[in-house]
Amino acid sequence: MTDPARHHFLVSRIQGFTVAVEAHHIERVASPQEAIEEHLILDLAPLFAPLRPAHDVLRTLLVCTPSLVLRVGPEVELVSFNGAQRQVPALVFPHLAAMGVQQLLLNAGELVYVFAPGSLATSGPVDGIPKLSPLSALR
Amino acid sequence: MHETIGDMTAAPADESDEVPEQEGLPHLLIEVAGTRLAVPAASVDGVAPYTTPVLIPRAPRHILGFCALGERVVVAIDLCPLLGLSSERAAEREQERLVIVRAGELEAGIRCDLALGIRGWGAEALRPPHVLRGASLRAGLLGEVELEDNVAGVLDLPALLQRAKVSG
Repeated sequence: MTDPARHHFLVSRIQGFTVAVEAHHIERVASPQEAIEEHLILDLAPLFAPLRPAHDVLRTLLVCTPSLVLRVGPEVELVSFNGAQRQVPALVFPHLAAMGVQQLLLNAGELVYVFAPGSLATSGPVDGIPKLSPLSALR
Repeated sequence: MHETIGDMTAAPADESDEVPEQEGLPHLLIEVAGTRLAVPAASVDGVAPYTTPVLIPRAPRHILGFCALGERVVVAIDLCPLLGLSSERAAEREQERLVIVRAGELEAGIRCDLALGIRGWGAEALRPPHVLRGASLRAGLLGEVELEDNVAGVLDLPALLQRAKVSG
């Protein structure tokens, strides 16, 4: 029986940070080589380390709704948490909300940045970060 | 998980076993980069050992990162860039503390080299900054008080946390 209190996330590690997207936002997980021409794509790596290029080009694509692809780390795992979500502290909330970070998760002492694809698709990322662009532009 | 103010005043090795009875407004005395500062005790939620925080991407220099304190996540801040203090730290790492403070909706953990305990003084003891110099430092103070062995700057927490707040 499904526990309604449990939230399921796709979790990935990128640039030394742990990021997550709630599973119900994900249509499917696509391979790095897959062509998804009709979607927009947002690479999360420059969000976390703008001065450090992500050398791992084979990074997984999370096809989200609506019409947005997030490029995350090479590995993605499905994780469920039970009520562990934390509000982003007010001191840094505007900063992280502008990056698309909706909440924090504290899982066994590890901090996880939870992204909300909906807000990313409507507002776009913060200044200085590559704007949403077609996947073909990454090649 | 983190210590209460009462626990903190009794625990550190550099303090006497007896906590002297305080008169006037209680403040927590801390030391940051050789500067003695005072935080109104009513604004202090607790004191914990300082541990290396999880970095926050694209954050300014005074934001050290997130510290997990049990079930709680606190933003650790460094007063040195905010107040124009030297960033050289003389204290042993194990003496460093995170002082969790609150002003309105804003909460933060102040990294300090030492937490020296609770002291109290009357409102008349507070005077405009005279000994403590530097525009950035003075802008973060309500004033300064003369102690037996030193001068302490009393932090203006609401103003300080507003300055520390990161905009989008």
